[in-house]
Formats: sequence, structure tokens, C-alpha cells
Amino acid sequence: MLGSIDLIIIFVMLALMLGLGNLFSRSVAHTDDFYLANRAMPVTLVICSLAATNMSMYNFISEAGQAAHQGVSIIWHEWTGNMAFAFCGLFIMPGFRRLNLTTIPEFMGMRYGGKAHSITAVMYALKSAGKLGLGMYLGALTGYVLVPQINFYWWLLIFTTVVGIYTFQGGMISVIFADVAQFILILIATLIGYTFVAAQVGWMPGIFEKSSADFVNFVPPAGKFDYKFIIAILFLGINAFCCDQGMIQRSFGSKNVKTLVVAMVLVGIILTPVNPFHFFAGLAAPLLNANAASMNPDAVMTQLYKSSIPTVFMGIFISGLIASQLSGVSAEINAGATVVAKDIWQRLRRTEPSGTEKLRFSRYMTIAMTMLMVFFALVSKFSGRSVVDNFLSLVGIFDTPIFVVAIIYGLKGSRINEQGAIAGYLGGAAVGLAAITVCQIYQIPDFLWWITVSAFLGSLIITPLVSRFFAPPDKEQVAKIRLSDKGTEEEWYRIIPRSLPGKITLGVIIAGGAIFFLGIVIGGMGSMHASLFAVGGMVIYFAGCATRLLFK
Amino acid sequence: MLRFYEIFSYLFLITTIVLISIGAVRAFHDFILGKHHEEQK
Repeated sequence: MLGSIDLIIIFVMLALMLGLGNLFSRSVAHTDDFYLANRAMPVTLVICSLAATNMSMYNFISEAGQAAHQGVSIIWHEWTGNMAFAFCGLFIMPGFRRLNLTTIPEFMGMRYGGKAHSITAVMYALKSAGKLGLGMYLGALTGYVLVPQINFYWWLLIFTTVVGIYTFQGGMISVIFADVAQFILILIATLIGYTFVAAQVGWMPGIFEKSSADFVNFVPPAGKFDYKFIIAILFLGINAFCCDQGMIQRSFGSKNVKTLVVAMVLVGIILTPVNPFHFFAGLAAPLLNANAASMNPDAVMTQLYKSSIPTVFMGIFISGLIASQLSGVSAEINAGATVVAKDIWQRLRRTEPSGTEKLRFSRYMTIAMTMLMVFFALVSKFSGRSVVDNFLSLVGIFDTPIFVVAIIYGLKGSRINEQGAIAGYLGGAAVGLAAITVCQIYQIPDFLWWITVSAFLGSLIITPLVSRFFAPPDKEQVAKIRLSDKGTEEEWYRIIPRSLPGKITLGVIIAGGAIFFLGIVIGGMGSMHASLFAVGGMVIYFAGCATRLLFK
Repeated sequence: MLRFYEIFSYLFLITTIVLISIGAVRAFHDFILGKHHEEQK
């Protein structure tokens, strides 16, 4: 139940977030401060920042709501994301970090050329705006369901004002410090939410005993979140953590390559035992509310928490929920503003802007992204689709082709030229868009699989085909990127370990991954042991990743 | 088994909250003192 004390707690938290932006505005002296927190963040801050960005109301409300409707297998949305965190940290991001980049469009410009830079920047700005809209819509909707005294539009205004002001003032520095406070609040809210819900159904043993066998099957052979979904979402997780601007900007803010690798592996490991709290609460929803199956999946959990958590705890819980949403939204606002300012505006100018001009324009772009966010939040409200469906479609279409072009062909390959990259990127997105249209017309439940496979194969085939008709890329530029990806002999970290124990840990990672995939495959064939193999494989994989950090 | 996992998860979550809070306070303290700017100079 919600009392006056809860409202006071919520508004005190919002006021503190505003104060944080003001506090850090004095530390922002130039654009690297604003975009990347001066590339000086230690491990703890990078962990908190990445984790807070990865956890939002989307986990508490939308994904858990899908668990209430479809069963526990949607948990792989997060668990494969955690595996992807460690994978990107160990195998992809070190090469990027050594290039001292700020954005992915910047990398596209460095690897392929100016046109690839511009087109990617426009696509990124569009994607950022769409993601922001979804995030803010979910925030305002949840605020309204929890505190109906304040309507949806007022919540939209309150959240927009708070997050807009602290991102405008303090840039990435205040975003990262706000993330830390928000991550702690998110964890506390996770504890509170699960405890009060699980206590009513006999805790974890009760949830599993009372739920049907299909509902607690981690790798189902059919359905919306079946074995194909798990493969697709693992791939999208890898795409997101090395190509999503909000994520990589946090990674690039790390002090050095070591900080980045350690932080990304530890984030994956820390979040894995935390995620089930949200999803298992989702499984409890149909046990406590007979109407859960027929309710809007984005509203099931809000109603459940509202009826389960007592006053005072409710205020803290809602604060955590709001904090989780604001961290994701602020990251995306900063990311969108960075791309527009650095990759579009600065490149359109004939003269090099001064440091003060750059900083001022970046702040104006923060306001512009905030306004776009409100627009897309209203579009989301009237779209009639669930947040999970909209989000997965967006990342499937935008992230898959950029991963193919930037990472597979750009960072790891050397033959593709600018024309091939542009055609592959736009072509892959167009194929993904066509796939989603077909899935909608024919009401195909496993749409994510088809969107991801279509966009992936589209860009994978179009890129080299078009590339063949044009001149090869600049050899020097390609060699510089290949060298950065490889690392030098003196560096602490190399993708292929130098020491024998390091090589053994790499073997453990590969073995864990193989057992995980075996679990997914036998799950597709309806095996009873699929869950054991998939979860066990994941645990072995993480054990390998953690020990990999100990050896050269 | 599930009961054991639940207790482990609770302990893990509480320990994470405590460790992250300590780390955050230290980082905040260092930042306010401007250490990272000094190091760069």
C-alpha cells in the first residue's frame, strides 16, 4: 500500500538525483568529461554504471510480466546478456578501447570512411530516440499504476525534468555517479520486491512446486521464448554490449583496458544470481492473481508489487524502480547527444569548434534528445504493442547489421570497403524491417528469431557482395585497427592468452559455452535434461571467464 | 536445493550491496578531492 511517507521518500530521491547533476556540473571542463567521464573511471564505477544501465523497469516490470504470461524461459534474455557482457569484455572491447574512440559511428568513419560515419550516426540517433521513448513510456506508465494520484503525463513530465536536468548539467560524470546510487537502490528494491511476493507463495520451493512443469522449463521446445529465442537473444546481447552507444560509452569511460575487461566480466557474474529474483517474482504472479494471464504483461507486476509490499518499503521499492529507469534513460540521452554533437554537428561545420562551443552544443543536444524522448514515449503509448516486443524489434533491426559490419567485417576482418559496409548495414536493417512486417501480418510468435536471422544473413551476404564491385579499403587504416585488436606484447591482456594457465581458462570458457549450446539444442528436441545442461554450461563458462582474469 | 540456492542468492545480493556501497563511497571521495585530475597533471 502507498502512503504519504512513500511519496516523500520518492520525491527526496528525485531531489537527490537533481542535486547530483548540479554537484558534478563544476567538474565538466571539456567534452571528454561530458561524453566519457574523462576516461578515468575505476572498476567499481564502471561495474555499477554498466549494471545500472542494464537493469531497469524493463527487468522488474516488462520481462517479469512476460514470465507471468509465458514462463521462466525469458530469464535467458538477461542470462545470455550476462554471458555476452563477459564475452565482449574478453574478446571484442579491448581492441575498441585501445583506439580511444567515443562512438561506434566514429569507428565506422575510421575503418571505412566519411559516408559510413554519417549514415551510421543518423541511424544511431534514430535508434536512441526510439529506445528513449520506450524507456520513458514504461517509466511514466509504472509511475501512474503505482501512484494513480499523479497521472501518466505528469509522471512523464517529472521524470523528463529530473533526468534531463542532471544529464544536461553533469554529462557522463553525473550519469555515472547517479548510476552508482541507482544500482544500489535497484538491488535494495530487488530484495524488497521478491521478499514480499515470494513470502506469500512459500518462497522459491513453493513457486516451483505450484507452477506447471511447462512454466518452469528453462529451455522449452516451442513458444515465444523457446530455444530459438535463446540463441537469438544471446547474439543480440553480444551486439548490444559492443555496439550499443549507451553501453560502450560507459565502457570507454574506463581508466584503461584492464579496468574495462575486469569490469565487463564481473558485471556479467554479479548480475546472474540477481536476475532470478525478478523472474521468479513473475512466476509467482499467476499463483497470487487468477487474472494475471489475461492482464497487460506490462501491468501485471506493478499490480502485484502494489498489493504485496507494505508502506515505507513501498516508497523505497518505487524509488529503486524509478532509479533503475532513470539510469537507462540518462545513458541513452547522453549517448544520443554525443552521436549528434560529435558525429553529425562537428563534421558538418567547416571550421573546428572551440572547446566551449562543443560543450555548449552537446548540452543543447541533451535537450533535443530529451524532447525526442517525450515524443517517442507518446508514440509508444499509442502503438498498442508490449514494451518487450517493441524493444526486441528495435534492437533486432538496428543492432544486428551494425554488429556484422562494424565487428565481424570491420574490427575482425580486413577486406570490406566503405560501399560494402554501407550497403550491408542499410540492407540488413531493411531485411530485418521486412521480416518484422511479415511476422506481424502472419502473427508469428517467435518473431525475434526471424528478425535477427534475416537481418544477420542480409547484412552478412550483402556486405561482401557489394564490396567486390569497388576498390579495396585503405590498407594502413585496416592495419592500424587490426593491431589495436591484437594488442602489443607488453600489455597485460591479450585475447589469446600467453601463459599455460591462461590457455586452460580459455579452454574452460569454450567448454562451458559448448555445454550451454548442447543444452539449448537438446531443449529444442524436448529433452528433460536441457535446463541442467544450459544452466550448468553457463556456470562453467562464468567460472572460466573469472579465472581468465587471473592469468596473462 | 532450491532453498539452498535462495539463501545463497540472498547472501550474494546483500554482500554485493555492502561492497558496492563501500566502493562507491571511496570513489566518490576520491573524485571530489579531484584526485583523478591531479593524476593526469
